[in-house]
Amino acid sequence: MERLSGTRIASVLILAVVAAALAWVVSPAALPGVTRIVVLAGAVMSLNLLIGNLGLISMGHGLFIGAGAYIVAVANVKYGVPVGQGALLAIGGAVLLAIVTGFMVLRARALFFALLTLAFSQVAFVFVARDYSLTGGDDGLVGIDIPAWLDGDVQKHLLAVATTTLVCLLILIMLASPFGATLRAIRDNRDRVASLGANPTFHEFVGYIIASALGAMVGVTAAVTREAVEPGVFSWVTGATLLVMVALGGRSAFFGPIVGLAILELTRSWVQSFSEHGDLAIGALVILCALLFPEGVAPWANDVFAAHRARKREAG
Amino acid sequence: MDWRLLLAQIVAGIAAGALYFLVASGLTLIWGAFSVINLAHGSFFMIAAFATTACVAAFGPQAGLLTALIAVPLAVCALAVVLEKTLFHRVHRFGMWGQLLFSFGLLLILNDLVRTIFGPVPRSISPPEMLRSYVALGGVRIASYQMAILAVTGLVALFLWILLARSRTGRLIRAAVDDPAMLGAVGVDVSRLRARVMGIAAFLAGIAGVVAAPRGAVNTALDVQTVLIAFAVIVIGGLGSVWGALFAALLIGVAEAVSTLYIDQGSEVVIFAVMALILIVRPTGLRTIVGRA
Repeated sequence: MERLSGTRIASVLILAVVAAALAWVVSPAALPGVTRIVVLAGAVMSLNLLIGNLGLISMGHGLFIGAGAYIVAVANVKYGVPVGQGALLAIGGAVLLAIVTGFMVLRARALFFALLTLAFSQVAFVFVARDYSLTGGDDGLVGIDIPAWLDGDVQKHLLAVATTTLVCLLILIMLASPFGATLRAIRDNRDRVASLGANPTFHEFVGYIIASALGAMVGVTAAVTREAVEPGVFSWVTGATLLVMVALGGRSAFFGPIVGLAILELTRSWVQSFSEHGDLAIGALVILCALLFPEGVAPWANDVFAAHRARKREAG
Repeated sequence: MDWRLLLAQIVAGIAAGALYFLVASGLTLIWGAFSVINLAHGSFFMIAAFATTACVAAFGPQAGLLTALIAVPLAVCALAVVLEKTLFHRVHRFGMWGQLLFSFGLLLILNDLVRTIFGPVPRSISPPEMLRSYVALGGVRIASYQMAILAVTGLVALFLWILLARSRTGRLIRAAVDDPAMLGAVGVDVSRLRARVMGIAAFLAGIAGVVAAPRGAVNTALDVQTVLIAFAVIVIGGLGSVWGALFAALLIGVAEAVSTLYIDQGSEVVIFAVMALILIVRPTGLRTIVGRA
């Protein structure tokens, strides 16, 4: 069982402080971009709760991020609900959605699970993109009325950092609990857990709901920091992008997804600054990483560190 | 309800489903026999479609399409074998995650190359003169190009059936679907077989790409669109099952075409809705109903 070690909590908090400090380091024009990446970090972490700890490869995580974003946006823009209450509504709605879809998607395994989740988010995408009266159709919704204390890029950035940090801490606490240990046991050997008397499907169901609620939290933050939503979050692009980030960084390391996110996004923005062949560069980079680190960059880095430390201990 | 319109839509759906089958059958074989996920499979389709537009531009609608039908699938097949021999075989042993990353990278690169070579503007070509009209069958008007698609894909499906059921390669492929480790243990060169299956799969996708090119706009979003539909087809049909894929492809094609009579746009949602419905009822696809290749 993984323990809730001080180093882990400290590393999350240090990362959070560094991310927050970026608000004063980067130029004001670049700050919204950085905020977007911080929000994405929360999204990949919540997705890796499913992939890394449950072995459930979801390609439809955009469904819950989108649900969170859209519930808060629709409630605010169409019905004048303040963002705070809207956020609670969004998380509640996402939990309901997870309960309903969970019954259906958890019957399937592996690739079937991936495509079934993808199908649900794709269906949601079409419904949201077609409905111009409620969800604003292809254009999405703009003009979310945010409270005064959030007005400003720096404040929004801090909110994004706070959300992502909260997501990371919640996941850490869950992983350290007996519940988290059972989840990983189910991932490794489902039948054995069942034979020991635990109910694998129930645990998977709860894990799925938690990951969805965390995804919705991230979605709310995405909507509030951008003051707008657009239907693209539901589409397969979101699900696939998050999945590739998790695969690239490494699903078995805690910060793996964030490493993958950093590699992809930094390369993209760097290459796009001087060339329009961003896809070519990213494709080559992803292939290179697949050949060198098929299990992700972060687990490999962890191994290197561990070996280095062991050698030091032997020498000293 | 006008039954003539309905019948015409069903024929159109079967023609579309036949194309889906050509793309998905290769993908399901690669998956079933070697557990390889190839996200770049749709890129073969897209490359073939773009190459066809180039052929038509060079040799005219009739000769161009005929040249494309012979040369392009072979070229795409060669490309796939080269990719397999140089790069893809390195990630096979890494399992699903390595393959996922690798083929995603390949998808991005091929897409960028196609966009660079052919430009970002969608291209469209018209079918050859003799296939532009309609055939009247008992009062139902069916575009003759759709009949041509059905003829070509029917021939290819027949070829695939003979290949799988009668040839030595087919026996080995079926054995690999059943138990790949055992096949290697009895002394079959599995990596060579894999290259061959990759080639066949790309060949089939190439034919689909050529035949599909005159149907609509050829654009750079085709690769992802195609591979998503192909994955939907293979999970509905059951992984590794060629004839399950055939049934699933026709089902999806017809459902999509018939739905256009009732909803004006967004027919792709029908594909995913059908997939969701079937997977909810049968979480491992239809394979057990339709039977295994």
